[in-house]
Amino acid sequence: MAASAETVARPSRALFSEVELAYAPAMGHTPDDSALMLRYQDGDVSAFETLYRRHNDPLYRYLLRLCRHRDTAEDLFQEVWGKIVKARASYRPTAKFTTFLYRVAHNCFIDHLRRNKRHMGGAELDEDLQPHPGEPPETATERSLAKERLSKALMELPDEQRDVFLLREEAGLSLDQIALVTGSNRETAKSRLRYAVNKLRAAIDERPERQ
Amino acid sequence: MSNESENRGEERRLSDTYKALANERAPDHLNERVLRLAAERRTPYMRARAWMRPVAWAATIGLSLAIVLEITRLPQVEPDSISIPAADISKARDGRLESKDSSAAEAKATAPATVSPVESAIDLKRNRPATPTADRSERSSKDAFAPKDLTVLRGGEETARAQAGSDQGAIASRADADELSAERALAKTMTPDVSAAQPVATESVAADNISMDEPASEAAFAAMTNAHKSVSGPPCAESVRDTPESWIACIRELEENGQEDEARSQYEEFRRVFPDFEDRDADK
Repeated sequence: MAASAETVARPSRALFSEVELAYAPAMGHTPDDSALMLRYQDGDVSAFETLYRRHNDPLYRYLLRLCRHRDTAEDLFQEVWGKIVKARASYRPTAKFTTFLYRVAHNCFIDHLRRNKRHMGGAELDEDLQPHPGEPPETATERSLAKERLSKALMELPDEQRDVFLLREEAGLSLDQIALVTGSNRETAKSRLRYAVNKLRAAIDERPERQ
Repeated sequence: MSNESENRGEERRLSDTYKALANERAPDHLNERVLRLAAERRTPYMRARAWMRPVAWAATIGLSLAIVLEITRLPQVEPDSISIPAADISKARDGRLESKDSSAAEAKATAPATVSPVESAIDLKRNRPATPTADRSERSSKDAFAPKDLTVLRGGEETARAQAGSDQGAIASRADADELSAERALAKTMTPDVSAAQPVATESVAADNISMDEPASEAAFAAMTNAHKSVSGPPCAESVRDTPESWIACIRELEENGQEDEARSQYEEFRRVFPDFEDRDADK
């Protein structure tokens, strides 16, 4: 009974979203991701460009940190957006677009792991450790050291914990949304996130052995 | 409480450190490739704008409601209440009358010049429908459409009855006159009693006038028939009318006596009473 009510309620919600989408530019509102996706569904390429500009960099970093290999990240990046473009006709704004996007990215990464069981273990990323202009040398050194330790700790995290941490930092998802993207329950996602945060905090606070 | 705030502070520091670390941007060649892909795979036609969909739904629902209301507001037409224009009815009636007139004219043309009432009645009976109710309805419709014929027939019937009554009155008056003459002869032979004989004398004078003056007696006969007319019934007595055979025999007698109008009226009355009686002699 509840399921039927939900299925009845969904189209009306979608209808209102479409109405909001139609009047959003005239009303001066920034259209949300779902509205932009629906506009692209209607053939508006500029809407997709706006949507892409919002999510391209976080998604790229997510895949880069997740894969730890630049070329693989770029391939997956194109694959993910290709699937988004392909799924435009069947897209329904039933959930947040970010959740939809990162679920596609997560599945692409899982498929990539299955295709290449012996995936890249070594860190290939060359982090930008250059000091910011005007920054004191001591602070710059300390910050670069913290970043280096964080980067190293991230690479050493298990894939599941790293995935959860990146989804929270890059996509800004909540625990429920992370659970939805990773296909796990909320407690599992919360546990993984707690383990990841504790390890990274420990890595940042770690004192240099030389001192 | 302090532990929670410390944790939040450290998580914020971790987040800031990560954001300082993760400053990579998607390469331009990737952006161009993805955007080109999106432009190539876009829907080739501009689908209806989102605001058109609720408008289309509203228009569809409105039209459907209008059609349903139009259907439900139509009056229920019953077969009995279908009205036919009066002009059509009059045309149909005229056509029926014309056909009847033409059939009657044809019947007249084919029939012999002199047709007795009984024969015409037989002809009418042959052409009549089988059911008596239909016959009655047709007859009533005939009466309604030809009132003049009915009054003429009734007038003829009355004159015929008057004539018949006068004849019978004449016969009766002659019998009375014979009786009076016999009484007068008897009175002559007997001793005359003036007082007693006076009314007889007056009667005898009248009788003489009747018996001696034959042409003058016709006026008296007429007067007597007038008196008889009110007393006497139809030409066929009630006892004769009890059985169809006797009544039809009476009608034949009237016809043989030349009282055709009387016979016709009697036959019509006979048919009203005995609509289903089959006259074998007439059929022969």
